Amino acid sequence: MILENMTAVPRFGMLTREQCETIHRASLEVLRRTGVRIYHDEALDLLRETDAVTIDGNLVRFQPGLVEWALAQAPSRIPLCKRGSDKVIAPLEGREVCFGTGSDCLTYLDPRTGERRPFTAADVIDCIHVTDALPEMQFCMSMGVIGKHPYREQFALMLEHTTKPIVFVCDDRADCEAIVAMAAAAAGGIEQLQLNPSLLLYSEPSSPLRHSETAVGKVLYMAEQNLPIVHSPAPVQGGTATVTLGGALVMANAEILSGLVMHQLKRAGAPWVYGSGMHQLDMRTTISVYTSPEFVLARVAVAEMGRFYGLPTWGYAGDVNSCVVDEQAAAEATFSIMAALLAGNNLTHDIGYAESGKTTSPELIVLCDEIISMLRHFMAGFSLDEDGIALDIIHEVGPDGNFLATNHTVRHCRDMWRPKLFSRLGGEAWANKGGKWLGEILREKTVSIIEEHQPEPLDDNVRAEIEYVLKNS
Amino acid sequence: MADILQRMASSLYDGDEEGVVESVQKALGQGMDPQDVLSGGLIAGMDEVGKDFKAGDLFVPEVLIAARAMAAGMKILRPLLAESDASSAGKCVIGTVEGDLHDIGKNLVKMMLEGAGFETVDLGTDVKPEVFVDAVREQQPKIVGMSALLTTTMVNMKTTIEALQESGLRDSVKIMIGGAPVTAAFADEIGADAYAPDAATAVDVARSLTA
Repeated sequence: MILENMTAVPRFGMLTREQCETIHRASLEVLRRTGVRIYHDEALDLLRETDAVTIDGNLVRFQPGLVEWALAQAPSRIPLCKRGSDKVIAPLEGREVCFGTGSDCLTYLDPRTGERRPFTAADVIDCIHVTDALPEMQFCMSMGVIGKHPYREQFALMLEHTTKPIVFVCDDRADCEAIVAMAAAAAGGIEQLQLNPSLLLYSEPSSPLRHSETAVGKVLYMAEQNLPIVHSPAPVQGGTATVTLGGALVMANAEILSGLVMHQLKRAGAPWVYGSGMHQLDMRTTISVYTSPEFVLARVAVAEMGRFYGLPTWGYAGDVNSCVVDEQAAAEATFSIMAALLAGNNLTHDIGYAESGKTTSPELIVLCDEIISMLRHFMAGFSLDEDGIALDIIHEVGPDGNFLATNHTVRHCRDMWRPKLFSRLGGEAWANKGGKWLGEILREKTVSIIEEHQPEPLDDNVRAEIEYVLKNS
Repeated sequence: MADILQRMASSLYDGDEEGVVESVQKALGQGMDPQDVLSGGLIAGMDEVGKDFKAGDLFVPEVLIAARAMAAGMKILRPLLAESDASSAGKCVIGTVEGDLHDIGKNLVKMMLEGAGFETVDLGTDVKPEVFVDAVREQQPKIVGMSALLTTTMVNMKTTIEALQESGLRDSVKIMIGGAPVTAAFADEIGADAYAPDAATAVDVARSLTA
């Protein structure tokens, strides 16, 4: 503990406690006065039974006590584990930040040719291998969309090609059932999967203020299975939410909280990640913008509101508006990753998104891995303990000496961050080594991972069970 | 026998000065030939260090403590080797040129050279041209190494070379230079024999100059 007190680390905060309470109360007012439409009969029945809502057709208005009851039920941590293991890879708790990729892009930026083209199943496998190989990636989303039953097939590919936790997207409850069956096979049964969850479902309300039948079906299924979910609205400011961030945040919070009430009514204590992806509408192009000042402010607000509620949080980073991996991509990626680390978004996805979420670039994932590694060292701060201040060493070396060959330097010379891809060569040495720009290095590194990386294989019997589920569900 | 040389090389690799001294003494006590101790223990260990440093597996401070351990071993061996003149890869006079107090780079080069078996005479910092000239006359080195960090002081490398020319000593030595603002082109321009961009390369350059 003493050591921790003597470590100086970057600190950052935006919302005060009073401001969090203001947002919370405003959302309670939206839920009381405006209400939310819920297109799901079982959920309406669950709500009706509480006597704490008023239902008009499918428009539900909530009393604050029910919402605060639900908030008190959900757990504060979700340990996402390695496939078939109790080893936690992505601890969703406190200020931990775990990074992973995004889901379901239509366009692939091929590192071999530089071409932008539709995703194939082979590309998705390549991207999963890149995610599996990179040390800073702690979970995997599908990146590309493929196939006839894309979500089940994508999940099966992820399960086979990475041991990292999987955050999945799917159509409906039937998809969920098939996917959970596959994951349970790899985990050694549903109980093991519940204890050591290696998957998490991403679903969305339909802003403004609606929960569709399929989305609620997924929410209730995951609650019933006691498996984690993030039910994260994605309102577009100026389109499906107020143009101002304050209103968008309050409304999104009302959507999250109403989802949480249904979820906790189905099974109190089921794991829930607090998330929202407010975007702004670019008023010239009507693009739903990713990394931008407004987008990043919204991410920080979500991290802080989630912590205020004692819930694990969802985040976004490494998701750029640029269509290629260029200087803009590097700037946007660095900005968003830095903000996620400072804000403490536990489950930070969309690493590798380009073209505002329409394209995945594995080279961008490789670049983000380097940026994350650099910024994690920044976040680790520095020590002010006896060894850190090292008065004796300063005294021993004195005015005319040097510190290079002291044992203190030797002991600590490996503490410093060392880039794997960024160059620190002088001009001549750099020129002698081929004078490469980073883009070229990224391309080579990405292609070499794709060609060489071998993920840990799945047992044949698990593979057979997955085949069975894919064919018969 | 081989065991002790292996242990010596591995102590040297770890920068364990005492370990190196102890195994050198033990090897000599067992009647081993000093030349074999040098090549089979110390140089073998240092070669490993050099290889791993070039591969990026070892860092500068780790190389330096290995070099320091090497120097401690050499201190015992040198008197015994003197007759066959195998004591040194060559003698170097080294210093930071006039007007410049920066010496970390120069010290680094010095330690690396010593680690590689060179004997060095360190003239320190702010070394006037005539001090270099006197040292060359007295020490008769194979190499003169000059360092500068500042663009304002690097011109004194040229002045020093001119002083060596005037005293007729220029052709008796090879001159190598280095330092942050120094380039190969500058070395050419002022009539130095060689330039090294960093301390590890400086050892290679010194070896090629004395080969």
